[in-house]
Amino acid sequence: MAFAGLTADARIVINRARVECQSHKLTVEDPVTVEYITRYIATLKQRYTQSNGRRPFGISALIVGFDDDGSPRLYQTDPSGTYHSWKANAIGRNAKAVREFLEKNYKEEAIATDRETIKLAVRALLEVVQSGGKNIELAIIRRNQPLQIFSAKDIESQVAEIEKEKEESEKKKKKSI
Amino acid sequence: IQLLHGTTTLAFKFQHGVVVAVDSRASAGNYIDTLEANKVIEINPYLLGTMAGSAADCQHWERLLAKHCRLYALRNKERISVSAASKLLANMLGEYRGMGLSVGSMICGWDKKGPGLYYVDDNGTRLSGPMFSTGCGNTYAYGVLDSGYRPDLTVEEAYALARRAIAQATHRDAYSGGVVNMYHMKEDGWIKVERTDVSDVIHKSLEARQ
Repeated sequence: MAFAGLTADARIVINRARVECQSHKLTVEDPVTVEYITRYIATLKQRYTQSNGRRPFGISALIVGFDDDGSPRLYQTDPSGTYHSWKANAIGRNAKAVREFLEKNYKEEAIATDRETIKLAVRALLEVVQSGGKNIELAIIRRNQPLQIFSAKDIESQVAEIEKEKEESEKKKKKSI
Repeated sequence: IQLLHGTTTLAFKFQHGVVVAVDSRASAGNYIDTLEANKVIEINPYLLGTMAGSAADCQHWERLLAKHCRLYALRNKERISVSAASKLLANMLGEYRGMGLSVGSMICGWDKKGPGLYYVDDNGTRLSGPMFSTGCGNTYAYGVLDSGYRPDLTVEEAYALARRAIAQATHRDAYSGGVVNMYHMKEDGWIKVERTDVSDVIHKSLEARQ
């Protein structure tokens, strides 16, 4: 789960989600589907929009994972408690710019391999992040494997590669003009 | 209080699914309440539950289980798995542990993982296995089942084995009798195979021997 908003609120939601994942596995003997846990989180958030003396959780969340049958899922929730399934999305202050970038560039070729997909994600963030690789965190989740968080070095090398490609494509444009 | 579990029920998995067979005698002490009790609850087209023990307890809790299974399907847009359904029942019964419930049930079904068979009882026990028999006639049924069971039985052989096991159990157990109600759980749901009077089964097998 990735979130944008009040970190303290996020920790509470994450904790509740973790407990529910275990609880579900205990009572039903199957791991949760991504949709189920998203629905749980969304229901939790909605409850806080309709109770006395409480304020809504100040976070939007992106929930990713694989279902038992192996299909990958991405869901987004917001403080109102709505949730939707997505192929690509962004949350946060500059989400609009990143989302527009993804709308233009999320194509079959761009997600054909791991490397291309990572590049797409980094390029999307570089649209709105100022000082490049130092302010980016990247993680990949693969089917039946634990979450792999990229080291700062790997991110730097990705960013460097992308900047080089950008330079080269600009040079080509200048040449053709 | 020693409650009598007057019943014989059985179920076993084989290559063509799960066969479920039960007797139909409901006894209250030494009095036969009815010869035509229904000891199989049809939870949904892919799930069956058998009842042994206290008729009231079994009916109540298994009907409650049917309600929960339906709600699960509505909320999660897919049918509940046999393992989850049996776990729900086991959890419900476990909360009343020590308070005198008497339920010995087998939850049978076919889900994404294939044919499923679980034994659940009032102690909170929940076991998965290829063959179970419950009720006070179960020892007699096990005798017949164990000597005739093979995982590669044909459909007709499996029906004959289940029919024979219930019939022989009712023959010796005073608290079992009536008719054999038999179901066959297949990949596309269960079918009710037959409802045969046990005396017919016994007489036919005696004739065959002569």
